[in-house]
Formats: sequence, C-alpha cells, structure tokens
Amino acid sequence: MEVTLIINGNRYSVSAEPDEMLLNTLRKLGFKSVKKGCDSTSCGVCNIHVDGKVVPSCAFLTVRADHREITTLEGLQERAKEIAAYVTAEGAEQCGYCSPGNLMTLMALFNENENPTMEEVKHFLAGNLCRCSGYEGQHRGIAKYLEVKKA
Amino acid sequence: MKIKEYSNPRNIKDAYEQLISREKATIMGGGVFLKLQRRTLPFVIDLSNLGLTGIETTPTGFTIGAMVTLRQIETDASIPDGLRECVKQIAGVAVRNMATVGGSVMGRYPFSDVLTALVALNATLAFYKKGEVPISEFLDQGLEKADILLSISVPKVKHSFFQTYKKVYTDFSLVNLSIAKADTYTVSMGATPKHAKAITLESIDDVRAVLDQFDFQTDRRASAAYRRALAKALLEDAVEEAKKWKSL
Repeated sequence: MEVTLIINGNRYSVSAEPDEMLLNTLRKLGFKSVKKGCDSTSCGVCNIHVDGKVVPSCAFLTVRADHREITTLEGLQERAKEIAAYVTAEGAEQCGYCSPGNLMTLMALFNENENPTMEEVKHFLAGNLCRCSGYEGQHRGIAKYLEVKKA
Repeated sequence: MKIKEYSNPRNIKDAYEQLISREKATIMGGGVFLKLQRRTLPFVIDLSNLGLTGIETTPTGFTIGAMVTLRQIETDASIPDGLRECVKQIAGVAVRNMATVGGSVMGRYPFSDVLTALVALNATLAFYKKGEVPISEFLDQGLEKADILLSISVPKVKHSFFQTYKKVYTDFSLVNLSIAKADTYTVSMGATPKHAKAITLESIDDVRAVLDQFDFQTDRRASAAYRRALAKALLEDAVEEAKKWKSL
C-alpha cells in the first residue's frame, strides 16, 4: 500500500505491506535510532512519537501512520544531547541500546510537563527496560538535569 | 501477527458493512494485543479514523469513545478515581497511548484491570447495531452477531476505588478489585483468574462475607488460596478507604 509519512518534518512516500510496522519502515529509511528489542511492546527501545505522543513503533502499523507526524530521535538531537550528557556523566549510558527509547519517552513527558518530579519521571519510564539494569544511574542523571534546568 | 488485507474506513457505516460482508474480518482498536497474536488475519478493519476518541460528560455521568486510549483515561480529571487508577500500572505510557478502552472491553480479557473497574461502575456498552448492553451481560455472554462497539457509558457515582496486586509494576494482575459507591456498594473482582464479576452490597465492612461471594481458582500465575489471601488484603484497603468516604 502507498503511504505518505511525515518524518521529522520531511515527507516520504513509501510502499508498505499491510502488516508492516513503523519500526521496520523507519529502519529501512535509515532512522537507525529506532531499535528493535523485544518486538512485543514490552521493552520501550523502539519508542517514537506519532502526533506528539510516545508509542511503541513495533506495534504501530505503517499504513495506520499515513499522513501523520512521526518523530524519531534523529529529529530531536539538540534536546536529546542536552539530557543525555547528564545520564552519561553518571556512567549510566552503558551499552546504550535503551537510550533512544528512554530519551523519546522522557521528551514526551517534557512535552506534557516541563518540570516533572522524579516520581513522575519514574512512572513515565516504567515501560522502558535497560538490559544493563542502569536505572539508578539514569535516574540520578535525569534528577540532576531537572535540578540544573530549574535553577 | 500477519495481515493479508487492511482497511481504514472513514465512517462507521462502511466499517460495519465490511465487518458483515467480509469473511473473517477482524476489528483493530489500538492494535497492541492483535500484534502479539500468532495469527494470520485475512482482513483487518482499523477503527482509528472514525472519531471515537472523545470523553464526554453527560447529565447522568459520562461517555467514553471506544477508541479512547488508556492514557487519555489516566490524564482526564473528570474520570472517577477507580477507573483512572486502574490504568496506571498497565504496561508503560507508550503502550497506554495505543491501547484503547474499546479493545480492553472487546477482548473480554480475564486479567483486565479496566474491565474490573468498568464492571464496578456498572458501565453500559453502546454497539452500532445491537444498541445498549450492560457490561456484565456482555462479559458473560459475548455477542451473538458481529458488531462494533461505539462507546461506554458510566453513570455518576459518589466514590470509587481500585486496587490490584501485581508481582512487578506493569505486569498482569494476580487479582484486582474495584469498588464504586452510589447508594449501595458495587464490589468487582477480576483476574480471579476468571473475568470480572460484581456484587452489590449495603456494607463492605464484613470482609469475609464479601470474599465468600467470589470464586477464586488456581492457574499458573497463582493458587486459589493465594488469590483469596491477596483479595482479602485488597478488600481491607478498600474498607479503610470507604471509612474516609463516610467522614467526608
């Protein structure tokens, strides 16, 4: 099926199978920040934004995304760099596989609430798994980022 | 999940006609559970373009569109506590942005937290052809003919409460409980591991008498005795909560 996708502000015309997921389409188009993890909506590493809302791209049909606004980490580099620096400074980057999904989820939270509490951050990140189990360090980094931003 | 053919109708009439005319048509709500199934679907009807995405307050309560996401429920202040609370531990935010209330209802999932809350609230389902069906009747009997769920109506209650036991945050419930108070108490228990059932009572203070009305069974997640013990703890929490309602 022919589909028009608006990815990070640019239009793409693609041909997709009826059961093709955005995860695969986006990777084929070169958006390699979108990682394949569990492929069953359980881990959060494939999270992207569709119309500003964070969703698992492994379960989002490409045909359903026709003419909708898709954002991947490639489209939010500046903001992502700023946050990731604090996470890295805590040694919490480790293998890095979960980072794009974590950052996309966090930035969706910041779209709703610029100054969340750490409780709100943890609630938002509950569906994002880290195979290095670096959660404590990630939380320390995010807490510091929020502190500095507030000051 | 494999899909042979996909359709994204723009109005409900077309969607219904496709549903009854196409062999083995499957309706897609959020698409999360469909994605996890190892099935080949010959024809999928996506409801995402029908505008069933609003939450409306009515004089007698409120109406939730079938395609309202669990995240919308979580963030809408007009939704009663019992329903808003129940979605908070369902997977992560990203999944809740996709999963729909209609999908939770039509799946008749026995482990569902949403169904336990809706049963306690005495919700009524509105179908395109069949019209209104009480949620408990639908859970017990299902539908005799294919139909499309349009919305879920929930009458006003004074108070509502939801509590669940999960091994970890975002997991399935081992047992869940919801209570709504209008003039009487409606107590609903789900994941027993059967689907949610409700009873109506004047008082919930006698925890043992309430527990005796529910049938707990054993499956691979938990034994009947363990479920009953968890349910007792959840009910005791509910009794404490209900004391606050009385003093309000």
